[in-house]
Amino acid sequence: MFAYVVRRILATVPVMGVVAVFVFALLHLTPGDPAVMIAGDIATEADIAAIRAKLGLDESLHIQFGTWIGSLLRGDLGISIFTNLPVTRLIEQRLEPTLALTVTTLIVSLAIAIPLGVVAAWKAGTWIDSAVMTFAVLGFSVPVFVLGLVLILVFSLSLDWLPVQGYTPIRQGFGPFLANIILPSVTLGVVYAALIARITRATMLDVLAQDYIRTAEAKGLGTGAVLLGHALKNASVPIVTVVGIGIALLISGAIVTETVFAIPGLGRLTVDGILKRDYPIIQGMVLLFSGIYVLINLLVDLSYMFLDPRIRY
Amino acid sequence: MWKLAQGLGAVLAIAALDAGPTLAQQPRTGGTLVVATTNDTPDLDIQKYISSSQHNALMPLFNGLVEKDWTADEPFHPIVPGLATSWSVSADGKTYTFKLRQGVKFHDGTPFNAEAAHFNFQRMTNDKHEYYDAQAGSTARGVLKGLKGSKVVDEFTFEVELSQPNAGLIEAIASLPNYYMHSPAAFKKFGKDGIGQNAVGTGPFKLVEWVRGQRTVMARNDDYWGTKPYVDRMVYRPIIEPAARAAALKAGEVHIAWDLPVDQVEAFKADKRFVVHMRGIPATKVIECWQASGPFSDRLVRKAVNMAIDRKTLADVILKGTAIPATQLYGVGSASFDKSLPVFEKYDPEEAKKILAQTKHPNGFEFFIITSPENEPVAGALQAYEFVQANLAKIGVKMDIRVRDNAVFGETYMRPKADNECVTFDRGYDTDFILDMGYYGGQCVPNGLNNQCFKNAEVDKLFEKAYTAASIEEWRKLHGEAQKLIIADSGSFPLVHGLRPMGALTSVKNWLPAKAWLQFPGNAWLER
Repeated sequence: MFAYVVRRILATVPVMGVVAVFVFALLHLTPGDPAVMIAGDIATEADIAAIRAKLGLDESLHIQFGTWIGSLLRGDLGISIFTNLPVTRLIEQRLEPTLALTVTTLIVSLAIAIPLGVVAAWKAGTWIDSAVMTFAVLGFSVPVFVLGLVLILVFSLSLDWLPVQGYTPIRQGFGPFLANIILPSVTLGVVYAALIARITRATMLDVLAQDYIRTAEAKGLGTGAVLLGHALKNASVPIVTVVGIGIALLISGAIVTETVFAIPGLGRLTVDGILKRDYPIIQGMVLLFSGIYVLINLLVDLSYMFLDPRIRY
Repeated sequence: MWKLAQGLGAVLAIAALDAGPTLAQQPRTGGTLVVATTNDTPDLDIQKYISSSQHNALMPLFNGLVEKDWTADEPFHPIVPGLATSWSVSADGKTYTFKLRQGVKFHDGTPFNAEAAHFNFQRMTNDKHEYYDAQAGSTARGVLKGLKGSKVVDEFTFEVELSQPNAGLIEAIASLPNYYMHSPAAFKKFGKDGIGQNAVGTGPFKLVEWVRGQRTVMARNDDYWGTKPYVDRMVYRPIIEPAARAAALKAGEVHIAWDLPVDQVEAFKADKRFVVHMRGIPATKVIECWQASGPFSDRLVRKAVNMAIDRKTLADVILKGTAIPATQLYGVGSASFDKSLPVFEKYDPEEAKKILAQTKHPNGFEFFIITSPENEPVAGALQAYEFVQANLAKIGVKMDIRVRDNAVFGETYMRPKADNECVTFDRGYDTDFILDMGYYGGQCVPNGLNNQCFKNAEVDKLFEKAYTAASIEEWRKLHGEAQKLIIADSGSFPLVHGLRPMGALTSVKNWLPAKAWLQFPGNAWLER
């Protein structure tokens, strides 16, 4: 297994290399010049040229790419054009809210989706199944920002239970942290939960039709033991796979959720970077997100060994 | 502009009209005023960009030599003393001498004097200076034509030198916080790059904490040279999404919310817990089209297009009263706004068709606008352009709307355009310099900022005369005449003047939004 892990981690290097080339090329081919943005609307061409030179944007693309890759290999993501701060420091400042949001979202969505999916499969064809599937379709169809605003309207403005927006770090108290993070987590979690509930139901239906389930029921095992001990465990490999793939959904959803709930996280940093063509920020964020995505899917692959003893690397 | 509200009489009188009997109450000291702003500042260096989000965030911490009272309507936005108590201009109009206020200290305890003022101006004008900043320099010189340098006369007398007369100097340095003063000691302590993370000024508030994208916390400066704020602290929270900003106000999580969403203004007005102000800003929403060639080079085509736009319905129905029909190029919040002018071209589609029939395009033509709604603070940009699109279709003119982000828009604006290409703006600044910037024939893009390449020899003459005007009043008069000629020439397509809906809890007292991009709510006090 160790050799497998090392191989997989090494395999991420070319993946990240390809991502780096693509993101660099895409960004520099996209119209929009950060120097114009910095200069403002009363600057002359000469002012803009001076700023471009200062930022190194007047160099040819391959030299700019070489400089960037060179610093990347030294662990340096570059300096943000607008804030003049290292991108690593900006990420560090914004990491906690996004991490908190994604972890709580993961918890919320798994806590909703797995029981719903299991129950829907168990009661397939009944009204419970229909209700769960309606939730799944709705959850997947309603845009994240609409759901966010509806939840604010109901739970913050009408019922006055939770704050409208903002973020409180966990070190300032678990209560305030939770109060701030619940609505964003549910907002982001619903779409994710809908996806996982659907796949859980579908996989559980397959498994529940297997002979060994009938055998387990025939030998007198209780419903809970059959559903959780036999069916869910065997259905878990596809579920965990979707959880891993869905991380991309979480990252894109986090960008919208952070805007609606005014959470100063990585999503907002990325959007601001894109709007201002702050190349080092965008490049750094895309690399970071790609790295996280690759690593999470590596963890998912490794988890198969624990979920299905037949799988060995 | 706390400091500006020292001629308090006029301001309080206006506030009293606006806020009813509340000013009879004794102002209460203490509390924390929380303000939901529209965006965060990119850094803490007030001199670098012309950015209202940056200037708004930093203004409570700094002062300029002269400042403006943006809340006063009569006289309109008067210039008031700041760190200078008086000023004079030399006979040749090239030297401005400022007598500086004595006994003022920066937040780090160092004194403000002529050396400090000189240091700040050298940073913008002298590229040999240790702390020169090219960006601050380009902004400072871009606004102030002829800005050359500065000189220390004695400890409290300071001179600004110009290479050519510029009657707009006092107006510009009063209006734009780019000329506000940093502590020189802070540059030495934090370095050239570190100044962007450390704000040390002389303002009524001191910086406590800036958490990027989350909050700026400021505490009252008890050593402030002017009238001290009532509140102990003021917190700015950038909430970018308008609906979320409105929700935060509704929930009482913030005391003041800037730029309420158009569709929620009526609900806020109807709710007794809130007060909504719509006092106007200098912004005019305008479509500007390439005139060096193509259909818009013909004045009759421009006139027909202007006549086909139903500005009243646009303002009253589409923008729900958060704007008024455009009468001119200047916005309501501009000192040059001419109240006597009627709505820009009477709405008359039939007449417009007849005029169009006399041109090379009797059956209409096609053109496109490039718009960046995120760049337009007057809300409802896309709805407005879709409405204009429908208006123009009635006279056979087909307008295509192309939405681009701000970065792409910036480049589009700076270059010569295609025959049928237009861009959209919320045009206007807290100073009055939009006219010569956008309509001086000698400054066609890319050599200047006349982005539609409008040319009118009579207008140019008036601008040239204004550059050497003896006073700002004369300068405004000449620009006013130029504006009338531009209107007669159908120089562009102004749509509406933004009113900027700003909301607050009724517990916020003594707050009146400025008719400006710059806002300073720090003179408010909070009811218990």
